[in-house]
Amino acid sequence: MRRISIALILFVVVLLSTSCFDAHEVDDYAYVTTVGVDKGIADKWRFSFQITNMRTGGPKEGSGGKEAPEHVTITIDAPDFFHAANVLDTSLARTLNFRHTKYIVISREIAENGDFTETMGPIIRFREIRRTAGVIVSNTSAQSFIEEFNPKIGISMARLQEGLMEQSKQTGFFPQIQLKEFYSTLKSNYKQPIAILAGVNDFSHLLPQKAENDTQKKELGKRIAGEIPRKGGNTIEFFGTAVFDGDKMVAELDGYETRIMLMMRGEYSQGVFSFSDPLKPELHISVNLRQRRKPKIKVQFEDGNPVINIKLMLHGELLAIQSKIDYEESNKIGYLETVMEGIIKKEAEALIDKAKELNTDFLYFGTHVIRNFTTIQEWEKYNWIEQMENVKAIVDVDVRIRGTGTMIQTSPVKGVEVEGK
Amino acid sequence: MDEGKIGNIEMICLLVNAIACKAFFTSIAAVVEKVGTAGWYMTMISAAVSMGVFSLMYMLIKAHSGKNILEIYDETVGKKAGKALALISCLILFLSASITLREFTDATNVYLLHETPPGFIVGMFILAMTVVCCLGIEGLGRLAKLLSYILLFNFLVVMILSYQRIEIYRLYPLLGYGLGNTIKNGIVRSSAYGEIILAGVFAKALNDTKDAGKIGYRSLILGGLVIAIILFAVIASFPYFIAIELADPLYIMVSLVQHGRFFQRVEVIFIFTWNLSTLIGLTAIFYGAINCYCHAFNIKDKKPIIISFAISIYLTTLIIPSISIVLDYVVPNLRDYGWIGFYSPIFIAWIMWFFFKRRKQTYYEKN
Amino acid sequence: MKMPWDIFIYKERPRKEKFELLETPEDDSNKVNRATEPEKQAYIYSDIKSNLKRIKEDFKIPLNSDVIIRELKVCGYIDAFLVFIDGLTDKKILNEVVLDNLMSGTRGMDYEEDLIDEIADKIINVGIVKKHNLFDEIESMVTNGFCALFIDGHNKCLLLELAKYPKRNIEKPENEKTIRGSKESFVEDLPTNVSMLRRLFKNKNLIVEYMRIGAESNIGCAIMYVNGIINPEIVKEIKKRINKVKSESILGSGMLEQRIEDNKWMIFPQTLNTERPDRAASLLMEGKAIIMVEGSPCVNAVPITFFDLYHTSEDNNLRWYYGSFISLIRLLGVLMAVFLPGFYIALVLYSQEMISSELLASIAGAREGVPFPTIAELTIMEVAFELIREASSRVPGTIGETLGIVGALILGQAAVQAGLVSPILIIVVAASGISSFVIPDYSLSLAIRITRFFFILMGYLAGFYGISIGMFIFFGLMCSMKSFGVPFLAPIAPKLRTSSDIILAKPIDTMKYRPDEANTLKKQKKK
Repeated sequence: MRRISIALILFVVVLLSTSCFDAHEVDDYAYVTTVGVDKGIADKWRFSFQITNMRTGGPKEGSGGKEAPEHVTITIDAPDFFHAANVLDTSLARTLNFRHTKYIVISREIAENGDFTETMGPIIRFREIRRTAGVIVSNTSAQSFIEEFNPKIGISMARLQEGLMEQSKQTGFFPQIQLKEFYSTLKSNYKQPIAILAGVNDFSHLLPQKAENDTQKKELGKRIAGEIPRKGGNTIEFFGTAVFDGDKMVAELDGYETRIMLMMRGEYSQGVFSFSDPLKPELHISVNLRQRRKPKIKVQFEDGNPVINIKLMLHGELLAIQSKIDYEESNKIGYLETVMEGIIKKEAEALIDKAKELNTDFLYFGTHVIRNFTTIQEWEKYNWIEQMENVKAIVDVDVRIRGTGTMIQTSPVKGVEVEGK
Repeated sequence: MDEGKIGNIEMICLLVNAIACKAFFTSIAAVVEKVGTAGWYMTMISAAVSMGVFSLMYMLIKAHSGKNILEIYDETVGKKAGKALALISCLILFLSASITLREFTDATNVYLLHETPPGFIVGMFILAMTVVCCLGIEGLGRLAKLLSYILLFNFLVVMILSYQRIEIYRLYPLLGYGLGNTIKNGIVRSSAYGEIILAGVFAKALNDTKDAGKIGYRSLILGGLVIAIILFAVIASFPYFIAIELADPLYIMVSLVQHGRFFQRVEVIFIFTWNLSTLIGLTAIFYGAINCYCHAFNIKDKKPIIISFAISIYLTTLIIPSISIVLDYVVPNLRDYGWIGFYSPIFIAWIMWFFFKRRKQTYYEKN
Repeated sequence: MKMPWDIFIYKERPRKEKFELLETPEDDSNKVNRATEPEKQAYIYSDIKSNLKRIKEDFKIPLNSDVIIRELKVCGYIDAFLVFIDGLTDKKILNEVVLDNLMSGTRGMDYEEDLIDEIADKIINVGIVKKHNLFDEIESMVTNGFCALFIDGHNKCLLLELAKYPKRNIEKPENEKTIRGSKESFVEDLPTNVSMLRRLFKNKNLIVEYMRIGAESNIGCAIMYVNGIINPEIVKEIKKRINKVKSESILGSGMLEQRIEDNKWMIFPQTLNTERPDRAASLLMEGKAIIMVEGSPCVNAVPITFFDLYHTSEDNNLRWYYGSFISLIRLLGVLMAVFLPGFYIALVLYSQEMISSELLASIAGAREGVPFPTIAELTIMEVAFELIREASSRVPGTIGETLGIVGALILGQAAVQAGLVSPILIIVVAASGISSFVIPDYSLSLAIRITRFFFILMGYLAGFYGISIGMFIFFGLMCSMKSFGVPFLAPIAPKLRTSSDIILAKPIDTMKYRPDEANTLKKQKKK
């Protein structure tokens, strides 16, 4: 009896002292929140890692307000991602840990060269990076993007990162692309990848009040990331889409085109849609559009070419009528709906033409065409990826305006110099 | 071998765990590679084939009531050949347990405990298995029943939570690589359900050995459903060319669950389901192997055999040097040819009984 | 005569006597003594002088001043004496009834062969009388409060039951508090306890069997069961096990429980302790046997399952919604008490990716500057919490209860301010400690507290994998436990026919069957 208990105690002691191979304290790690890749000079690539010093919420500093969390961006030239991380460990007190990486940033240079699979492809095998990380193509270099990727308003880094991704659902100006989707569409034979386009805004587009007219005047939604005329707040912004063919970036889409693309893919959630008033073209009407149902897409084959019928179904509510014309009446609403349908249909057809020109299917039509095939061999022989230019597409839009806000009628503004209706 | 009795539901829980635990690992990628997008109904074909073989076994059990399948082997083909058949069953169960354990260790090594040497993981597992085996089939059955409801509930919750990523278009083209390919693979891979022979090995622990039939059919249906749901969810979440790359598709599927900002990273639920289900299933298979061995050599006391089998399974699990060999040679061979080991004793015994002994039995009964 | 130079002369100081306990030769059993002494006669003598001498020897009278011998004359001329113990007899009845009857009631009677029977049948008006002729029996009866009457010329002795001794009143139960149930609790006196239970369960089939346990101290115990409901094998087994107990001192029901339980290595208790008669009565109805030990206000009930330990009697006393709700909260408490610290260790040490980033930031921030590794912190705080809990049960009065939890939290807060532990850990430890208070049975709550350390160890060894293996082994051992032949986890583990409530209570008229696992004789309760 005594021997058994001694043996058991020794066993437990041995187990305790030799096991726990994996036990690492929370502060043994430096958590990398963003990873970026550029073209390197001293070596093949230049990797940038953003490390957040997790000091928020310390209770000892109850007085004196919260310290802003520190973010450090470390850059290194290395031939390979894992090599870079390993070598960087020699200069830090903690080990780099990628379990909380939220974004992967590629500079535009690398994307246009088609080097993505060389640099970042291997990380999909890495167990630490989750497949829910977002994929961003940056207009500026990745290093400068990451250095600016700070919350200027006093919220934590994680909140900023997660919150930014969510804005895609609120505005529709950029898609919500995670590594899983990006990676599977890279290898897919029925879709082609896209990525979020982001940039650093140096606030120079918001010209001061006394300046001359803006020479490169563009519609607000037609700009791409980094060009929005605003000032204040965070310097980075997500706007637009980068379109890939294989692993090479071939085009970029601006804000409005991104929206239409999302509508056709069925991922559009809601956004404010502003167009010129048909009766007074210099003023605008704003409508909050939502997608009522996923678009109905039917595919038929005529002479071996696919004919795709797309029906988009949207509904919205009126937000602003600048011209004070009484659009809330029922026949006027119908007129407004028709106008909107026309605008959206035109934009959709323009986008499909652009896709046919590039011969890339970023609109996910392939997922509907595949239903007409019965075996994988047939589908692979058909090779959809190169068939996009033979597509004939017919778009049909159905918009319904369901609400008019808190006002059901607009009365005219009375004044001495105001014209009548 | 004087054993305790367990109830019907407990046996079903044991068998379903034994069948379904191997779907949590690399087998899914192999299935998708062979049949493409038709995986989810290929497994139903496998289950149907298994049911066919099981009905043969059920006929044997019905004819000799009160005996388990090993004693039936002795009766139909004679003592010496019966011993050989029992040893074949023991070997195939042992190999199946060992290879599944190896897959489990590799998956745990990659996802949960990175720096731990696999010997430690396997050692702890075998320790737990030995302790519970020493408690006998009663303890094992009750434990299975206690945990199975919670595990099933967890499993369904996990599947439902991943609805976000499911897109029906990934299931197309429906026939995969062709209907003929699907059916052929379905028949050959029915060794995935081979653990149903445990229903015969443990038949004496039931209150009435004829219940073994009911139990066998129900657990095959339930196990088949579980595997089919897993395959359906995986094929619908990942396109088929990605699914063949993944080492553990189910784990990755769960790690992608993200509803809003707070409800993410919920793999914790899944880890328990996976660990506990594998523990129960592999203990059942291990215990079945020990039963076969003890019957073949007429040994009454199981405890020394349990310890020596534990050491043997430790060696067999770790003897393969790397996972690539496991995935390229070992697992496919087991799945493709395992049905020989699982089903051939039943075939032989059934043929002998059907053509030779049945007349003798009815003759004796008439007299 | 004292001389002034006596100061300088050495005198021996008188030695102070120090008490030292010298070793006695090892003398384990009394049987050795009896073997060397001349055989004493077991039966009583007819001659009163020999009886008197024998009684004086056995009880060591005049050394033992509590045992009184009252010599008297019966029928005017026959010698007789009474033996009784001073503190245990009712003096009033002795003086007014017994002595009166014996001395004046028998006046004029003649010597007869069966004078003892005559006296018992016609003269003495005491309720319980017994007749014996074995010295051992008579002496043990006398120590139980009986009064022995020896008459010259008769070799039978008459024993009169006159026991009255001071005892505690029926009070509120200390450890099992209820809102709506009865607020009586058992006392230390065996007849009182039996009477309380009789009062609640007025059924002629309720059997009370008295037994003696222990070799020397002669503690009485009673086994109560309902004949016709309980499986008779259980009663036989209980009696067999109690008879096997040869220890000399069973001072309470706890010690008896330890000697008759199935498996002393199991962490869970195999008998249920209760100090409330209404709970004992409901257990009797379900086919269990109640064992009461004299001198202990807690009674044991066998055989039990885990769910008997888990339920309180409130679950059936309240309406079924309320009972279900409270039962669910209790389940949550039990799970938290066992698993929460283990989960925390596994999460923080091994699986940091399963915590959301903001939570991780606050955990990491809280750990800045703490000198101990996480496992050391957790162990220190757990041990400190257990120390405070034990200490608070010794401090008297109301200070004890407030000291318990509030003190622990304040101590934890001070430790956080000093930078010794991180605040999240305090929350974890406090939550699991408070959850362990919801368990109604004291033994079970101690078992849960011990199990928590096991899971902390497994979580530290291998993270979530270790906890899964710990759960597997733990539940496996729990499933294979039996208490007096009944599986411990019935009705989950062997699934039986009956529908007794497990976690959720059911409306009271759907619970018609007795629990099947006890294999009771009558399966259906009458409505």
